[in-house]
Amino acid sequence: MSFGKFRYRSVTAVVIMVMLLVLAGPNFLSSFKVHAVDGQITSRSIQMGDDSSNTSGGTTKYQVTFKPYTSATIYGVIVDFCNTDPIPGDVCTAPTGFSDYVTTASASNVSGLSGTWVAAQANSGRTFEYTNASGQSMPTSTAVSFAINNVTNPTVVGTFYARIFTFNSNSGAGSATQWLTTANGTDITNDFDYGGIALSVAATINVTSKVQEQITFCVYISSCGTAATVNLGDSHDVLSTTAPAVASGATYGVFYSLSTNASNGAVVYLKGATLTSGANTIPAAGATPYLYSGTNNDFFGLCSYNSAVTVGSAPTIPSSEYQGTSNGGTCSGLATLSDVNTTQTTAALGATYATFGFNSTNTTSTYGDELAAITAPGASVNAVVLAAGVSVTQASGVYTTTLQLIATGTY
Amino acid sequence: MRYYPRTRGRIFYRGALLTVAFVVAIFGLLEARPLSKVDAAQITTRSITMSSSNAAAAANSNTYQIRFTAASSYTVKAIVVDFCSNDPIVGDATCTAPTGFDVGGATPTIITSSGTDPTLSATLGTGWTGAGTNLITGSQYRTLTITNSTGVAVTSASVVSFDMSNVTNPTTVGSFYARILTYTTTTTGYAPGSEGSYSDYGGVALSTAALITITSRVQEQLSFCVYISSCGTAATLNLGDSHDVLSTTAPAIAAGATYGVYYSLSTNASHGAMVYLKGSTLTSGAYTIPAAGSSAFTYSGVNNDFFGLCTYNSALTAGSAPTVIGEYQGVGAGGTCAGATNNSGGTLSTTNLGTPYATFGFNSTNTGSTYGDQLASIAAPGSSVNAIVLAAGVNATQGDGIYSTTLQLIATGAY
Repeated sequence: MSFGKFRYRSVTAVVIMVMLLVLAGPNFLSSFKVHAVDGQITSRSIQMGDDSSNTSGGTTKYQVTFKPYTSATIYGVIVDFCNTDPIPGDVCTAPTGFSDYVTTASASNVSGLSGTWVAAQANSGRTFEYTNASGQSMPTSTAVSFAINNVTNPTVVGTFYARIFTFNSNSGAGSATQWLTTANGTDITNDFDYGGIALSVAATINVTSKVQEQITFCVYISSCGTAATVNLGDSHDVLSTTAPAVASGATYGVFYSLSTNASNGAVVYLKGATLTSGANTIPAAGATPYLYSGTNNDFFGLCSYNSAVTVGSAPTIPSSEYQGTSNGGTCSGLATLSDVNTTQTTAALGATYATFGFNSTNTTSTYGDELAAITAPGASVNAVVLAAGVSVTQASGVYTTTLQLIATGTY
Repeated sequence: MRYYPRTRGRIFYRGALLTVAFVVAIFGLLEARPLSKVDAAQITTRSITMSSSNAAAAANSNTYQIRFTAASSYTVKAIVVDFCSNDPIVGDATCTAPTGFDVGGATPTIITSSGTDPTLSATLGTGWTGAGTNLITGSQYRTLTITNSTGVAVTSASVVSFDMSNVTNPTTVGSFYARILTYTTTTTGYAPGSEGSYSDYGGVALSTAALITITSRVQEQLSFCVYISSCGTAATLNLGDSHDVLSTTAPAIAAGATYGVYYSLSTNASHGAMVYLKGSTLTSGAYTIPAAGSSAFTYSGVNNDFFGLCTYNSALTAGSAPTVIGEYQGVGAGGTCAGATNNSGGTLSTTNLGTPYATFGFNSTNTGSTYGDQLASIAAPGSSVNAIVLAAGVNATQGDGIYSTTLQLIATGAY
């Protein structure tokens, strides 16, 4: 036979042997072990409650599940956690940092077991023992499942293993107690059924995102981006001595939208002076709710109300002069009674009358007068209703003012 | 399957290891990036209050109040407030200056003591110096740094607050941001993305907004009404006894609510208004009852041939009462026009003139002129109701007849 043929046949033989080994699988491998009476448990798994490497001392649960290979009365189950392999009979070294108990071992979430099963740990937390002195008949068709509580994961990322053994005796040979007398886990003479499991701790997925501080503040009449220019008065913008002019509602009212993620909310300040024409001014409505009393009422003021809330709560209006409600009316009741550029009537104030305010002492201070506030993140649209009237002695002229709404978020 | 020689496999394996190590390192850096100092913490209850949200506010006209609660205990010697248009995230290497913004030049004005700004409820005290850094353009700076070599000890409950004035708002409407960092040394080493060794940090969002511009008009107004009982009623009166007959022994007086003539005057005329009296004395054909004249006329007893009037303010709503020209004031004899008693249509008596007597006037020269004789005036806007007391008496030789006259009161506002 030539060297070439010899090499070909040798290779073929090796391949066939490997295939046979693969087909035989664990049974073949385990056949080298000499178990007392053994069979490999089936449908076995250990579900980890947390697969992160444990460097913080936190604990989790392992749910152990299997079906007996052999129907028998079982007195104990041992789960031995090993760093090197799941093969019964090999020396078992505990995974680094691993422990199956804190103070005492315990189990929970039990199914397929009845009677009194007692949990214990051995080998410094490497081995979990679960025993029933009375034993329990376990058919091969019934899955056994229990959770090992207070497990501390290995501190090293990677694979580790568990070996599960069942025992058909409560004491002496064939008992868990007897098996534990061999501390390194190599005993394969006392177990009944057995099975290996590979587990793994893995890197956690650490996700970092940033949410920046946000405030979106818009002052407008019809929509954000449009100018907030109001001509307050009749068709000639003239204020009346017999009825107030009111700028409210979608057409003429001024709106402000406020959206912020500020954790402590936001405050909207009103800043500016009352209507002014040269040296002449129309008196501000004041720091208390101003009630229009009939005719010849010389005033300029405003009230505010929430128009829509998208997120969070509507702004509160801390100062009563801006709430519009002191006379029993409502500021929001003016929304449909816009009479700017139309005939002035007292009905424009609603029934009953809304009230107005304009604390010019505060509105002309450095940071203005607080108009509204929210105490938590939110998104809302709010209306500001403007109103003015004059007495017969109010000096003639074109009166103007520029008001600012200033939003301050507190993060 | 491709065959890899052993050496090539090792190279591949080592390359993979290096790649993994590199990726791990990058993730580590990313996670650590926001904090240049491991014990840095986020300041709480932080805000920046603007004195104006106007994007078109005059340059260096705004004041910002920075306020926050420290997150840990240390002595703060420097605070950096960096204003960015892109984001408030400390650690972000990019901070784009808001368009048009300026912290107040190279040496911004800061107010750290309530002694200068009463609105500051918690302050850093004195000894702080402000500096603008990160030049934007010209003399505009993006970053404010305030320092104090002595520093102020803070704890996690300390509220820190100070004002920065002379700020120029961004010129675009919308959100912009600030990054706040505190330091325990006056040398901060701050730069976006490389903030140095800071103690606490935090971001704030701010916003400029559209202004509310309001325009109203107040037109020139003059409300003037002449009446007896109420505005709109006729001012017709019969002066004399119950038969409208004048007496030689006592004057006839038309005064008071029933017979007196009133005029109400309301105007917003900035320079006030004047009321003119126009008309002639009582006349009957060719006969006239002499006008009381241009000086105060005092009824002397009997046979006093005169027709005159005086006026006084009855009610005042706004402004001042009209000022009355001398002969029409009624006080020439020490009496008052307001003290004259209504007796028109009743018994005529000298006591009707009051005690002492009121006086009367009627400057017929002026009342007969084109615009009449000035009776009263106000120098500013006002609203009032005023009474006119009419009086007449005759002597024994006064020609008989039915005497009448029509008088006008003409109001002229000066705006």
